Amino acid sequence: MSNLASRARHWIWAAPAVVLLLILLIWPAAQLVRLSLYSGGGQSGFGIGGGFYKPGTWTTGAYQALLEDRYFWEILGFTMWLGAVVTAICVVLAYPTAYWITRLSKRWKIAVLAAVIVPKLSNLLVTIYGLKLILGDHGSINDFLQWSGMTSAPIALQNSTTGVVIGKTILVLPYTILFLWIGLQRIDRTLVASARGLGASPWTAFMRVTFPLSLPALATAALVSLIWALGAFISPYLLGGPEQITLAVDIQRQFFENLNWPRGAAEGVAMLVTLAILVATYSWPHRWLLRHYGMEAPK
Amino acid sequence: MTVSRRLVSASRHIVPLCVLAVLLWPIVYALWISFTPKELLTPPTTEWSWRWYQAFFSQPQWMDGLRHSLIIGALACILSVISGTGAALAVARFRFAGRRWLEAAVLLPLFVPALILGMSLLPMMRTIGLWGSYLSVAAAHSLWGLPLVFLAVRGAAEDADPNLESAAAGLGANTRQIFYHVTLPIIAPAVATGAMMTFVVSLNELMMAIFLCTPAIETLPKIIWPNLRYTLSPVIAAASGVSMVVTLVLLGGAALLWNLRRR
Repeated sequence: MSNLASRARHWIWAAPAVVLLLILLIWPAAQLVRLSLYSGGGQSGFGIGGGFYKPGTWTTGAYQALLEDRYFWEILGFTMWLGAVVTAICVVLAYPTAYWITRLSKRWKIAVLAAVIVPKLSNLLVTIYGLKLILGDHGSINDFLQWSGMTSAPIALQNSTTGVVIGKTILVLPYTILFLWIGLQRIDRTLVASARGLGASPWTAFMRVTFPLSLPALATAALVSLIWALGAFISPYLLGGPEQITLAVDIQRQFFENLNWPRGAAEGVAMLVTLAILVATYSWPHRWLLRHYGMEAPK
Repeated sequence: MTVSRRLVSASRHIVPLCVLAVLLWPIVYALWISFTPKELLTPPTTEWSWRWYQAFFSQPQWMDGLRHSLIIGALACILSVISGTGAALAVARFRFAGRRWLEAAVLLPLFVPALILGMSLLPMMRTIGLWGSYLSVAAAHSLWGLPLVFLAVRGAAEDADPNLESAAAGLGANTRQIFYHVTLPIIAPAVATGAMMTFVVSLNELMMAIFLCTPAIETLPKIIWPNLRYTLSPVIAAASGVSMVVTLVLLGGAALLWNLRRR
């Protein structure tokens, strides 16, 4: 082996991954940005010619159209609102659950974590199918409400904002639980024991020791949930009605129904920018929390 | 302990158990429905039947979908194993400039929404003429398979004793012999774990499939998807059941292999 080859051995090992990422991630991302700068309306057929844009054009028209379109702002507003609501519900439900998991015996811990993760790794459409049956006009929930006399007619749990929020919450919740659990199980238990030994009640020990120490994990879990909630596609598409359009649903529509690829690409870039801003602004309070509680910031 | 204190300590379990029930109930309900003997979407209580599974396995539409899914999953595994194992060994065994960047780049696709990946890959696949091929969807799924294999193999390679390779070299083994007789047996269970996780992800992935699948290569989730909007035939529940079984078998295998490695 020549000297050069032995010195670059690590890059030979890494070459397939680097090539794969260049071809499948970097190049398509660059092409997406380029696509958003074409002029829309080229109607060449699927599979023939350049696609659904006018080749050779350079324009910021797609972005200008976004800024001026009230419909787009409504969609963006609904997406943000849904993301915030779903994240809030997920955090409130996930915290006691994740904390409860840390107190379980090892055998139960593995079983419960598997129960949390397996639905997420399975076909999400199974969950949605079950939900559609449960939330439908003749589904279990409406049957129960009418049987118990709480309502006299079926209430609209499907094709409504309620359905979208319930569906998205169920799809996001496993992530929130998982990320919170990872953070909570790292907290030194002896600190709580010391607080108790010094006379703190269980509640005081939790509020003064465990809860503050869990704040960075809480922030991470909330961010991850928000990122996933903002990409909501399946639940608004299948559990919502025409009023519940999110950015992801609209992008898909621009690509396949309106055949306006530059517009879809521009909305995609807008989504990426939103996510990037979120991640960037989040790292600041996260670092502050870590430093404030004397924990090392991740390198 | 008094009764009231017992009630208080039992109440801690209420919220988590409700959360677990809410997470699992839709899936359990869907699988329950799949055994209904009737056309109606009522869960069977007295009479159970395999008829919707028979319908699934006799309809060409579903069998084609299953076949496409398995082919795409296998291709995604090959791509992810090659690229992920290589990157993991590079990061685990060498210290070099750009090592952290390589690590971050490999993990990055996990944090990009599938919608963005699918949307950006569609025009790109059309440019290079792969659009409509199994390889296009498999390549898309390998973007998530690569980091999964990478994480599994890097862990195994870092845990392994580096002296084993030096010892083999000292005994006169060349690079290739060291790889096949020392390194590969050590990381093999981790590679298999990563491959199985990749297969599971590919089998159940919908968003990239929506953008990249043409009617000739539609995967199982892509076929279920439009059906959910209009009809809710129990055969969809059966299709869900089939993908659930494959998923659970693969996850079980991955968990077993992972435990094997730990010992």
